Amino acid sequence: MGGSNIIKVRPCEGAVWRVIDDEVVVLSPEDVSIHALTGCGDRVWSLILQGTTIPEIIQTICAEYEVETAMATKDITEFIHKLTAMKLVEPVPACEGVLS
Amino acid sequence: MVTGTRATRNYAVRQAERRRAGEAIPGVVTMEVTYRCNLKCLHCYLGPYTYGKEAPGGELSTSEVTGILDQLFKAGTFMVDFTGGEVLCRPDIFEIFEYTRKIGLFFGIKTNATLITEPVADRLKELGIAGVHVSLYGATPASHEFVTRVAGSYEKTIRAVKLLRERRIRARFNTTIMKCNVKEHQKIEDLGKTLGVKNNFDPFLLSKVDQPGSAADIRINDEDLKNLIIEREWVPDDELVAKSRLESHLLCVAGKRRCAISPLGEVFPCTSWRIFLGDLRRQSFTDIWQGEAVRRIRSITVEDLPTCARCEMVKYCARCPGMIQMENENGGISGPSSVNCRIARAIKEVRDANGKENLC
Repeated sequence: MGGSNIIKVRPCEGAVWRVIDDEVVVLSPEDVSIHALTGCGDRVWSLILQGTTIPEIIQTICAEYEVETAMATKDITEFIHKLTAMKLVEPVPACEGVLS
Repeated sequence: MVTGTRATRNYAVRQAERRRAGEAIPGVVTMEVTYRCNLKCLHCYLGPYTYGKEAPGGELSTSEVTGILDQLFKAGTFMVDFTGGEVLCRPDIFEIFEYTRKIGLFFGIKTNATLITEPVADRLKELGIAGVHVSLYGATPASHEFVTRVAGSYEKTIRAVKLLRERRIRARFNTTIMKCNVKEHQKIEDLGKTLGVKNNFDPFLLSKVDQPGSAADIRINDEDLKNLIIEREWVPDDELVAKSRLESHLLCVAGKRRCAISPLGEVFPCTSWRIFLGDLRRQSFTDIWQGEAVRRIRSITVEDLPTCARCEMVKYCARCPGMIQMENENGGISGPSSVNCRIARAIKEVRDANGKENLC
């Protein structure tokens, strides 16, 4: 992700997803591998799709899962880093206000 | 831990467990849903079947296709590549795409893209298509349409790619390299860059089904092949060559992790390797996938391919059993492929010539 100035991410081109057995499964366009999102990963994914900023995602997860802010911040930041490294999401350029 | 990508439940866990148990899972399946096509590409390996006609014997119906998709999902398939013919010639194709998505399969298409209009591109986006592989044979209308033999096809294809890219749909140009377009590969790549798509250049030109040798007249000559290898930098790094295993050059995943299904419901290891494994109108996919014909393919080892295994060019080769079958090679399925041998030889000769230059 490159730094803490990234406030919003979106799925990379070709990173499409399906819900299989109540589980969000994302296809990596890089190597045609599949990744199942665990824990509240599916909820984070749906918030990413809605164009929610990372601070808002953290707030939402804290409220919905009754998790402490520090823990949620750490986990969600790591999770988004991981999704970015796997080329499943990418930072939204600052000039783009709307997610496609 | 609040979130994760490690599989701890359901689908991904089952897939991993099955693989660990040694089960061959057909993760990616290519489905030819029609032989009909609106172009008349001079090199098409399905040539005798296509050119606007339905398959003799009748294409699988919508319900037959969706029934097969259900079976594939149960067998562990996660991705279906739809191809043809031209997939978009099938009137019920969006019904098939919708069903594919509904049951949780990912899908992509291989297409000439001429039938992709704005509403079609919108629908593909809505359905979450993973990618679109677009056949392009030239960087100009003249060179592309020399191959497709349909006037106006270039403009339609390029317009379609723009529509896909405007919607952030991943697209790629697939270019079969022939005598008529070998000098244009750089221009095709430049066009791809302008449109935001990657390129795949394929020098492995297949002969038409049941017509061995039919591609000989349009394949590039040795000099052009070597120039292409140099210009596209296809000589692999020496370190990678040294590390690579014979299996990766001689044994492909067809029949093990992939397979193909024809518009009639025949199962083949691959669209290029069209040996009959079973008929989905008469047998279940699982019965075919666990059947004797597929087991024979999976049992092939490097030891069964002695000529290729001992060849000095093997580490520059990507041996394709489909090529061997299509060309009806004398050595049979355990022998070498003259097409692959020729390309491997050219790569090695370019590599050796580079080595000599570096020594000077």
